[in-house]
Amino acid sequence: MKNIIILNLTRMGDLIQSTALFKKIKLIYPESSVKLLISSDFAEIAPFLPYADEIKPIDVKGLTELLKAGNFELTIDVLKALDALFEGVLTLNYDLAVNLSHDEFSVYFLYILNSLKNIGISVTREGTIISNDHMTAYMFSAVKNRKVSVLNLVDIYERTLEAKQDGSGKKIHVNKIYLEHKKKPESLKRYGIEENDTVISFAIGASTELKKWRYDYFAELAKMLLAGDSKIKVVLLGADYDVEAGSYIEAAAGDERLINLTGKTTVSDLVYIVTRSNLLITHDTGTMHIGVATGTKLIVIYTGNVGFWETGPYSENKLLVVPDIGCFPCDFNLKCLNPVCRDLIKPEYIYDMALTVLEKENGYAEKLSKYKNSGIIPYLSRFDSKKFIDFLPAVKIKLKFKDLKLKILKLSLEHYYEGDFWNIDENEIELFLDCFEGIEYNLNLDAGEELKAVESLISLCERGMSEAKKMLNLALHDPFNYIKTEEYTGNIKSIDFELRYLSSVYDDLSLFNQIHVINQNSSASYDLFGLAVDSLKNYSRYKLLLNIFKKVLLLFLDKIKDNFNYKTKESI
Amino acid sequence: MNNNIGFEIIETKIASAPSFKINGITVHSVYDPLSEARKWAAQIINRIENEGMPDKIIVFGLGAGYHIKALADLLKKQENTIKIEAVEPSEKSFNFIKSNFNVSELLKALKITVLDSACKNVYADASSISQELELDKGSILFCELPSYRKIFPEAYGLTYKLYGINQFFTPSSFKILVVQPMYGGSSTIGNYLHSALLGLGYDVKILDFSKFYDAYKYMGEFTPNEDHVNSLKQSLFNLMSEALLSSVFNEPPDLVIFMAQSPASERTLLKLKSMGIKTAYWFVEDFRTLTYWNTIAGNVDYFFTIQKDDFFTELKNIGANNFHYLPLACLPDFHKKITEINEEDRIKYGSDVSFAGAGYYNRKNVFAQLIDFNFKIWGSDWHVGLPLSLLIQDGGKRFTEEEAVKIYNYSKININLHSSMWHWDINPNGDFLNPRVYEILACGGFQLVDRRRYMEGLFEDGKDLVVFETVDDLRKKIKYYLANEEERSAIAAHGRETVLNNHTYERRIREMMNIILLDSYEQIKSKIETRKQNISELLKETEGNKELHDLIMQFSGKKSISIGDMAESIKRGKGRLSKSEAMILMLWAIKSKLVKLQGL
Repeated sequence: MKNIIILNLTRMGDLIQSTALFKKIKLIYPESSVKLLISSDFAEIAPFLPYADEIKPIDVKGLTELLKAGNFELTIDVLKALDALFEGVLTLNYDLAVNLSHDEFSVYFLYILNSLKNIGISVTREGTIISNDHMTAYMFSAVKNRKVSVLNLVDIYERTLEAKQDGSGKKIHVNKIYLEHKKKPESLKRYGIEENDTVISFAIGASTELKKWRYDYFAELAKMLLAGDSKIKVVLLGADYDVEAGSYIEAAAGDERLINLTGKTTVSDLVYIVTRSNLLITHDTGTMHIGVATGTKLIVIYTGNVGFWETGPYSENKLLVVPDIGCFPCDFNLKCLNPVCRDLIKPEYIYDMALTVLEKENGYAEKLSKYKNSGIIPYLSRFDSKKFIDFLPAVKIKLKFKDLKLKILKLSLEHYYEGDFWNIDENEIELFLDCFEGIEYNLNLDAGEELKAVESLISLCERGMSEAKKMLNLALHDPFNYIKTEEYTGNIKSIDFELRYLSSVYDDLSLFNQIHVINQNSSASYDLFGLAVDSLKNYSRYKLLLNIFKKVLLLFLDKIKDNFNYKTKESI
Repeated sequence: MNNNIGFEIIETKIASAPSFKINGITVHSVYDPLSEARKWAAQIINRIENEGMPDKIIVFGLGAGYHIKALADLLKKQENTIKIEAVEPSEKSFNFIKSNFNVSELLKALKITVLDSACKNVYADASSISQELELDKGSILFCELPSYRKIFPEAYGLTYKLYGINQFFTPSSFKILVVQPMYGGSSTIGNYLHSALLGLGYDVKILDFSKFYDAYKYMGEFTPNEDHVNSLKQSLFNLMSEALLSSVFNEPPDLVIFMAQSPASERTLLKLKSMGIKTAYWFVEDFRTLTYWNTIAGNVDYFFTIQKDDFFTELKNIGANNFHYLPLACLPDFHKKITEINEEDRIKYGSDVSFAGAGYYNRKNVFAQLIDFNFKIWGSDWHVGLPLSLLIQDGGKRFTEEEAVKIYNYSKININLHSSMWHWDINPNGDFLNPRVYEILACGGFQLVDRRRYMEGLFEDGKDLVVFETVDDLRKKIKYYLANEEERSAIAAHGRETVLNNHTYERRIREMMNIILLDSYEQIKSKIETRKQNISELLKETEGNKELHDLIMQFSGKKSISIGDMAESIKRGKGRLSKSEAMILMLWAIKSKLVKLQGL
């Protein structure tokens, strides 16, 4: 029986998103014993997480407070708290340890576990981030520039482990996230929710102000819903810090069928209420993921700096409402003083959509077409041919440069990570372009410069491969020739520097380069031969990714030319 | 010390062993002082058995000597040769005892330290008391004649604390951060302070804000609106305060010493207080000219000044009670006599008469009357016309401190006229001594200086330096001392000896630290003892884990084990991380994340 340990000390939403991986582990290793380590801050969700045989909360917050109290000196109490963290964890030898956390603390934790195999980030003694799997390398590259973070977290987590179907050799993907009710939920009557009620829940909280819709709009929406149907009850959901907002909405709506539960529910109750809800209207938060996992109908409202690619609802036919404004999503580091994006999402739009979603299981697209040029763009979720979650606009809009680049990048990455290097799915391109009725007036499809850059990068990769081969030969025939060793490693460093320099102009190429940097740093070899092999692999992969990107880009340009009768001026 | 002491001899049941009272409090038992003394001695022997053999015993309170004699007898019986010393707080009580009790044998056998003859300034002389009692040498058992605790509570408290400080405190176990201003004279003093602290073995860091000065000056380029410029400068000041907090949060010191005009905003000081960090501010300015002290003094733990009297009154008026007089000083390792003459320097920096400093109003007036001398003026802001401009050296450029040392050494006479923006020549009410007073003397330079109130008791006119009262007087004395080289050299030599013995930054630091340690005794003792205890506990706890035990051992000499230090050391290592190293780096990762999240 395999002993598997998973470290996920992140937030509740991430925990729920990683359940796809938990399921996959059980598919690949049905006899395994899986231990899941989570932050004690989110221990309440533990009873609902399936596919883990044991869940242990880790009190990092308590340890942090101890450290602060002692001015970050090593004390006996700190040592004891550290020992408590590892209690019951180090008693086993693990066959596989998976680190889904994003920080250095977890890296060292993983290190201490000393399992046979690790998946996830690690770090060198000097503090360089390294990874031993391609998805982690991607994740830590994308985090450096969120603008090009196009793959969903569930897809990333789920692909940290590969599995193939017997017989067909096709890759297995778990395209779902899970929460399960391990015990019968208590009645929600104590909250005023009756069995016959049509419950529409509003999750009004979010981790930052910019992510939140206007509270007066929530109130307006509540009024409309309550006035429209006497069976409807609106339930406000939120944490302690949402109580003030909840009180405001409650007062503004002024209806006893609005049940204000902000700051009043446990996580368990939250799960039950969301499950019970006929519709959940939410921001992109942990509550949204609860809704996805429990199969609740959703409308997700996006504002500020939250794009939907990374954390959007991981299920088919979910409705996303996005403001139609050029600055959306804004930069994570921006402190916007005038978030007009929120104003564009009118309560009457959401009301209308809510009625549609309540009425239908799917097939909303028709009804959503009326939102063309309204100030919002509704999106619908789907799984594409590579089994990645995808989001397509539900109204015909003009194709913008940003959308095009992101799609090209996404498609390239999908093909790369799925190992389907050359059969670029043209249907996906068609499907995407079908969502657009033309191109933006200022869209410049002259990709000549970027293609030149790609070619230069490819040449550099080939040079890198050549240097790596020289190193291989040296390792085999003249391993103590330090002069040559220094020369070749110096050449490789120069090539890497040039790669970085050339790719820095373009966000997408910069992402590829960052993946390459992590791969280069992650060499587990300590001898010349191993280093040479690793370098050869890394340059080869980088070249492959660039070639896929180039192919997808050219395909797109061709299709756009055809679909929109556009004359491009690219020089190849 | 309290000089109002009354004595009274009391007959006891033992005729040969009378007792006495001091200020109405009985010193020894009125029944049987000898039996009482034996019991007391037995308790001390018990302590020795429990705590281990000390190198010496210090007894606070000579009394009639019964207890000390009893102790000596017991030790002799045990064939124990531990040295005993006594501390008598008051000279009056000491004289009374000598006159009325048979203590001659004790006086021959013991070293007796009489506190108030060594203790005019309790903080300044606290270090000399420590030195006199050799509190830092070997292991000491400190005990007292119980009645003396009530009779001389202040003296007892001081001596006990000094003993305690020497037991638990070593400079290397105490972390200090010196915070500099962007520019100005106090940053030079800050550098000297830092050097002296290092020399004394403190774990000291310095925060240099001089790089912000260009930005500060540049603020005026954006707008001619003065209010806006001031607002921008205030924002810059706030930024510096945040930078300071960020540094402190990353590596918390035990004490932060702010130099004058450094970024010590109220928010910063309150934040430091909340972190349990002691703060000291050395206001080395004229309180009448720069008045920002009234926003700072009340917010720091210790406010050191170079003026007293009127300033102390003003400080009391704003409710401050934490102020202490601490004059400037010299740094002997830097301000020294040049023994190997460099001819080029001598030609450049030497002259009959010199002055090194900024061109204040009074100086311009006075020096204009000295142009017939071979007179060199060094420094900036001398925007003057002829003929005074002929005396300004190096185009009125600012000189470095290294150049100042050369000027003081190579000039026959150094004039030190304290600055004034309002007085025509000499400020008749001038009180504090500027740094030049000490620095010239330490360099072995001969100094002619205007009279200042606080010179009394520090330096002797005509012996250490020479004071001038008027410009006329100055001229006469210049002529006289140019013509009398021997006398001039003798005064310079004597002045040098005085300043090196009594007025160095090292001495000032001892005084400052005595104030701080004595005042915050319990808190700092607890902190340091907790650290020591923590280390020994950690070592004990990790006895079963050799790897972790050895890792902690590496740092035990540092008196405290900071995770940052451990992480830094681990990161400099090679090869695979050990499990223990990874655990320490986990803790360090928490700290790093916290620093980022604090948004400092």
